[in-house]
Amino acid sequence: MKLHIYKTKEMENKLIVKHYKIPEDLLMDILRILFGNNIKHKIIGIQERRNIILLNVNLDLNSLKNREAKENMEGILTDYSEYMKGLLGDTVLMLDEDDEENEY
Amino acid sequence: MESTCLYCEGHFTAIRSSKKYCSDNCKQMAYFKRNGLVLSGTTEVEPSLNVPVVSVKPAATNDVSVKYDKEKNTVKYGNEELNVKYDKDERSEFEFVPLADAEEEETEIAESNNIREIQKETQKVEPIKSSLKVGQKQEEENGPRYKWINSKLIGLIEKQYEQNSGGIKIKDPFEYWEYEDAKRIVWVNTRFRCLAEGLIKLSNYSRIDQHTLLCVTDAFKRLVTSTSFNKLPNDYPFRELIIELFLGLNKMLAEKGHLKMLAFKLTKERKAHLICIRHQLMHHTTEIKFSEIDFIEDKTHEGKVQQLISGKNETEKKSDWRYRYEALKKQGLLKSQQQNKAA
Repeated sequence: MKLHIYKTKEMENKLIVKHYKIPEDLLMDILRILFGNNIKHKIIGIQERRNIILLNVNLDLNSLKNREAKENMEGILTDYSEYMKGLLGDTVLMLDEDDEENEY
Repeated sequence: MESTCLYCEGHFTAIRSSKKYCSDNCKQMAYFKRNGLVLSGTTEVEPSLNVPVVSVKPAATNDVSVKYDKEKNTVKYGNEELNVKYDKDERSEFEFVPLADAEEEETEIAESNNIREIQKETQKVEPIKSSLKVGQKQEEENGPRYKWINSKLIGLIEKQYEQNSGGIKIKDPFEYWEYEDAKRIVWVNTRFRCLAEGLIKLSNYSRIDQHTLLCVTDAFKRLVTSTSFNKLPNDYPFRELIIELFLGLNKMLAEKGHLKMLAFKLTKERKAHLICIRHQLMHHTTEIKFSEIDFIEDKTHEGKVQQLISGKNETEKKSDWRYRYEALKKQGLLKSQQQNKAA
């Protein structure tokens, strides 16, 4: 018998879209995480001069795998930001939902 | 006593008169069949699992034949024909009406009762939300564990940190080296930090122009040929790296200097090394922009006096990039490249 899964309102709220700026140095690592965990994503822009891509990632926070993938990606981006402090200019790698990118 | 198995209908020699199945396997399979269960990959009893027929007859036996008739749903017990109560809703329940059955059936019924109780418990209807939560927990517990992915670049940086930590040499050069040496080291470190930052930034760009490459190479040349650099103590940690970078840039300029725009890339190892050093220098060296820094060493006291007398601020003048560009032109560096280009 097929089990029907009903999503409650609380669960729907946990489906989020995160925006990330991925520098060329980390692109392969981030793509490995996304493909390895079947996470929906979309490249919505590139910054040609700086070799950075803007990525929209659809995450289901109800899923443990998705949560861990999110932590993994953000961990890598945070470490990179720490090491490159002052070198990336005003570039913030993890954008909030309200942030807009006008450069692309 | 010869008897027929109720499951596989094979003949067997029974020790007890009430024995209905030729083997434990048949007994279990019959139980599964009654409950509508089939083992994966098996539809019939595997012949290999059948217990071999015992040919030795016991001395004293109560010979009574037992036969199950599927069509009539009766069991022939000796000369008597017994009805079998079969409850469709509760499939596991067989009752032989007059016969007080032996241990086999008792244990079988007891087993089936236990299983039914467990099934009933598990089949209790639960609210959807709670069942989903349980399902989710099970998925989290049973699913394959998440494989953490580490960035190669960050791994290399951390490795460099472990291997090549400048430690007190960079943290506080005045404590580690003598005053004069420490003064030179601070001078070189400030400039090297600036250049390392420049190289890391340039490697992040998709393309850089020829002029930028020329300026960076020139700055490296000035640093390497400076008196302070040449008088650095032997255990200064970055001396080889600075020379390597200078040679690499020179080579690149010679090979690709004729191109107006070129891709400037560092290997992952080199980049990790530079990022690591720059990160260490960041906390202990002052930050000066490339456009503001000069590579001319402090003049001696006499030189400073002469400068005051002449009234010219040469240091300011020489730090200007236009001045440097003109100087390179005069040296014929740019001219030769233009000629190359034309050729």
